[in-house]
Amino acid sequence: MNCLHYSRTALWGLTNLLLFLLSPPSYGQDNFSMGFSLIADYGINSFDTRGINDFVDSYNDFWGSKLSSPYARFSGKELSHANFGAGLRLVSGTKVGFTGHTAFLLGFGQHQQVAEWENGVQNELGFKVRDWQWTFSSGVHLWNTVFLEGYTGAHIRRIRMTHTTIYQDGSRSLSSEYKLNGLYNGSVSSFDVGFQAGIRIKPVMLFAKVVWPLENFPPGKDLVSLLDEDSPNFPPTDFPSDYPSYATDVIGFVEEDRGLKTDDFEGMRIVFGVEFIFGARVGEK
Amino acid sequence: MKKLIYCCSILSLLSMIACKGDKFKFPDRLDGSWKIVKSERWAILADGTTDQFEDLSDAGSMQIYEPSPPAETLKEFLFTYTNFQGDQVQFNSLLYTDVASSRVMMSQVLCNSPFECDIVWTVDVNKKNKQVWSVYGTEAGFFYAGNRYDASSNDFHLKWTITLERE
Repeated sequence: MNCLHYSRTALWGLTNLLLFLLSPPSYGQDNFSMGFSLIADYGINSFDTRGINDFVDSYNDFWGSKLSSPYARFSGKELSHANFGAGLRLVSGTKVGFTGHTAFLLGFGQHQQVAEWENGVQNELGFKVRDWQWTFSSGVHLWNTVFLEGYTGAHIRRIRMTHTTIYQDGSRSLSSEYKLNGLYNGSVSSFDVGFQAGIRIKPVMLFAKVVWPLENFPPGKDLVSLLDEDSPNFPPTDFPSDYPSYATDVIGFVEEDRGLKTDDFEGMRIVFGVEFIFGARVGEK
Repeated sequence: MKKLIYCCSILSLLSMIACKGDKFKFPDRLDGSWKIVKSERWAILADGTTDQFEDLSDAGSMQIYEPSPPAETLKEFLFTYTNFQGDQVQFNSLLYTDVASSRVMMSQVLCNSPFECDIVWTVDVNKKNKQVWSVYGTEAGFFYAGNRYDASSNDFHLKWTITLERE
């Protein structure tokens, strides 16, 4: 994982945390309360399928009838997964007041799909993603029951994509006998914005949020490819989005940068979750 | 105030766990002397059956050690292998792995070029004292298929598996 991602996210997170802790209105110590929260959510992830579906379409077209079962196209929801984490919730006032929340969440997702050749050899395209999120939300609450908040968050996604050859006896190869075999790595960091709404019943808050990444921010991330830097299969080290040029014109492929980009794997997320809040009730000791 | 300190401590701990960088631990784990306790070769046929044409015990040894000068992700190795005909081959070169510990690469042992000269083993079993690695090929030979794009162009494939145990 790129150290730059961590330092950028950590700096951004610490700034927000400071703002979060300083942000409650100065009602006095008795008028706001902070609590600890545990969070579990499920995010329906949408990612940009253009790059990977360009690969799927061009690979299927290139090999045509030699594939008895071609790769299926991606819908963009394949990397949806659950996240778990912990955070702090701040509430001020009893009827109507300010609320804020910060949390750290971790989640894993994976997806595999297979294409089969006419002789029974299969290729498997496998994805494993690991997401780190540092989230901040703030807004208003009504009677500490209904919560309406704006959302901002830093999101780092580590992507590991494998292209494996599976032989007729079930043996799985990442070795170099076929050029596309390999482990392609990348990461993408995004700054997300959105809004969320929740209903709190005693310590349990059910919430839903919609978040989306800021377009091409941090700048330049659209230039980063998924790479297998450890493989002797280069050139190229990039996983292709344009398969025919990868297979027939390597120099053109590299010059025109036709690899699959890491920032394809971010997008809008619709999240449903539950937050267990311990404390954060004004007036409670 | 006590609650706030607890909360901040838990958040800091979570951040530290999550922000722990990926480290290349696998090459270090491989350091030492290994015995090739088993060497097996098969042909994998199109109907899914296999035809074993080598099954050797005590097929050689492998020493993996720090190169000079030391490098964070590289090791030096000496691979000694005796095949079923009694012929001994010896490779002395550099070894590296990928970040997911799924492959072990022996650098430039087949020829002296950065292209198609490495042996890339797929790691089947990865334990402290036992490693099982496989490499594949076609009728044209192991390691690199004649046609490296079209997997349907071969009626059968070859598989070579070695089992290493720490000495």
